[in-house]
Amino acid sequence: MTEAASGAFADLEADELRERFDAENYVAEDEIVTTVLLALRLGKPLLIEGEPGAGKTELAKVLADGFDTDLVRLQCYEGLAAENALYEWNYTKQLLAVQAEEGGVTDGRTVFDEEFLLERPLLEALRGSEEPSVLLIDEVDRADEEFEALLLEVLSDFQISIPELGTVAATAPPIVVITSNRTRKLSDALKRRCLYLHVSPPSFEKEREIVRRKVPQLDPTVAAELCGITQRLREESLLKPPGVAETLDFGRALAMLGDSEEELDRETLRNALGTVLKHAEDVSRVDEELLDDLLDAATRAGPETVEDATD
Amino acid sequence: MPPGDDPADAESGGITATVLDSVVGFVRRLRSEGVVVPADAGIVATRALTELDEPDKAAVRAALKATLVIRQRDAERFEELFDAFWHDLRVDARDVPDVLEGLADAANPPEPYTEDQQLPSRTERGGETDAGGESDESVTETEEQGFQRVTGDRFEESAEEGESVEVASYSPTGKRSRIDVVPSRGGYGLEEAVVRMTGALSTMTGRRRTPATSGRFVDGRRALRGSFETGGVVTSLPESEPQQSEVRGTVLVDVSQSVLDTIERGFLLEWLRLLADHWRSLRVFFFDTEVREVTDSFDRRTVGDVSEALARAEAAWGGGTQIGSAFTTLKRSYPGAVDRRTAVLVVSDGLERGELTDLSEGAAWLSRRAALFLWLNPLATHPEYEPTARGMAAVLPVVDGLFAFATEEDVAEFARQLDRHDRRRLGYRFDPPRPE
Repeated sequence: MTEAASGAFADLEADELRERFDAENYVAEDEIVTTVLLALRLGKPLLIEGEPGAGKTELAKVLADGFDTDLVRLQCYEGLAAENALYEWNYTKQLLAVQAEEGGVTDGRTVFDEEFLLERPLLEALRGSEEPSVLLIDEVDRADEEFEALLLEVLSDFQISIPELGTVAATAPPIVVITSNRTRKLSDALKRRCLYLHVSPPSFEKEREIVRRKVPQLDPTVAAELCGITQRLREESLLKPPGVAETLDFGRALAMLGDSEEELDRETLRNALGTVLKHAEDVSRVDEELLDDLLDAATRAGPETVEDATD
Repeated sequence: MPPGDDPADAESGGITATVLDSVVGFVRRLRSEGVVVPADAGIVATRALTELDEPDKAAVRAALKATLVIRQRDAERFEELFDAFWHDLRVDARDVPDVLEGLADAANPPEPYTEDQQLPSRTERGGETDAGGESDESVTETEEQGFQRVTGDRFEESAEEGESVEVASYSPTGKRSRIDVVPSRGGYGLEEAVVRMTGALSTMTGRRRTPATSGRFVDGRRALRGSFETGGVVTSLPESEPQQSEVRGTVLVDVSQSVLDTIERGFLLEWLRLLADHWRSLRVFFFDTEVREVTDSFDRRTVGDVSEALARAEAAWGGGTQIGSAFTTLKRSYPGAVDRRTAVLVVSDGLERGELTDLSEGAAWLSRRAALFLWLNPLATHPEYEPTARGMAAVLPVVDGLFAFATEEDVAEFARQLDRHDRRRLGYRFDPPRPE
């Protein structure tokens, strides 16, 4: 099965993948490109770990858009069970069918037919079109360990066993992306089936490039300044350090406020902190002294680095 | 990674046994360092390597990290060990140069040299050093039986005050002198170490191995073949041991002033004479700013005879140092001196005054071409020694092992390591000298 999965991407080259990422404005380092390429070629699921807001989910979306295919998303949560992830029988429809055609069950027909089957994300991804879809299993660490066990068959063989119907195997195995925020340890059995990628918070240069691409209306100097601020905030001991997503929110907020071409001042920064800090305790940590530091960081990151980048 | 020409490669999907060996060894090493690696990760990692278009260092690192590491906390350890693995892969590339040429050539160049990384200033003498009044006061020179040993109480600013360490005097150009008869102080006690070294090399320089029940090496190809019966799971690791072969060697001796200041000439000649006596074939080259083959002089029974022969051959020593240029000359003028069955030993302090590019390219050529490439450094005798001199830093990534070389104990130590360790784990990097 994995051979079939890899077959669809056997001719895919690193440069082509990088171009697809670029086309979707996704800034990917070489390590990410190589790991994603291997996951595609080997037909193995890609397990991405990292801090919230580091761009893990975005990678799956970019893959779906880049390959112009469907994105099937399974958001995990505590208590997620097989009927929410794999399939479910439409009991109401089954009951009505039995009542409408009394004896219908005995004349060769059965209510355990595809007609009465409700596809949930995993089954939907397996029975998709001829082109492999992208299956995003998001925040798998939120689900229970029992759910991980359920995933094993799907991820190993890209098939699901339905006792009443038999085994449903994928025609075109999906590209599987599993994300985890590392709130709990995942089982080795699950990890063994995946290629592993850890997404770290981006460097200043990478973050500036991301902001430049995602919020093009923002002045480059202001973009560099706000990246300097989020980089400085990550050095603080915060309950939730800002991720790239927060930096982008920050940039969009400035663009919306019409301050996208002016240098950041103290008041704007104070007002916009809510876009990057998501805990009251974190916001309260930003006192006048830290605000000074943040403005210093912004000044240092501003015009000079923009000149460097344009040289 | 392109498939190899070797028909045997077909049975393992284009991956050579050498690469598989390296990956299996790397997995073992990771596990021994506490990294959690899944049971079948070696197989997946090997498959991943076959899928790489351009197996350069970054791509190989990303592939192995994605397949072997499943916990972020292990990533740092992985990074530390990966460099050694990459070096090993380059070393092994010599066995299958066609298959892994890309890997070997893509290896990182040596770390760029910076002024403050240079080995601390030598005990200075001559034109550029006369000004060093203060340091001269703290330097004493002793002369015993034909060699000078310079000691000083300053090695590096971080060195403890009053600590006496050995340093070499650096001679930018040197003054070459004819070799006279070198007095021998008699028994150097080298015979036993040389015999042990010869025995170790006789199983190390060849690549042929035979199956064994308790061999030193994992037979990756047999392991992979066996795993086909168990659905890709390796259930046992067949082992092999090397076959003994005749020892052939080439020794390149840096006879610049800086080396001769720290090594006894009689000791050096006696060691070379014993090598010539025990090895099936030995070629000896002296180099400073030129390269001279002096092989014939070592077919003698005593050090005195050897030095007389050297004098007759008009050999000279004590010049400046251009190691890279010497390697280039060796490559151009004596290409037959180094081949895949030859162990190459370089005796030098690595204080290069020529072009670093020549040195790193020459060393890389030796590394690719020779069966074994060892560097014997007279300065490495001190426990605080760090191979940060520009020349040493340039060649370090490609040498199989760096050893000290100034006394009988040093010869015994590297004979011990050759005897005990796999060639991938040679040198003080893996087996540091033990404090007395």
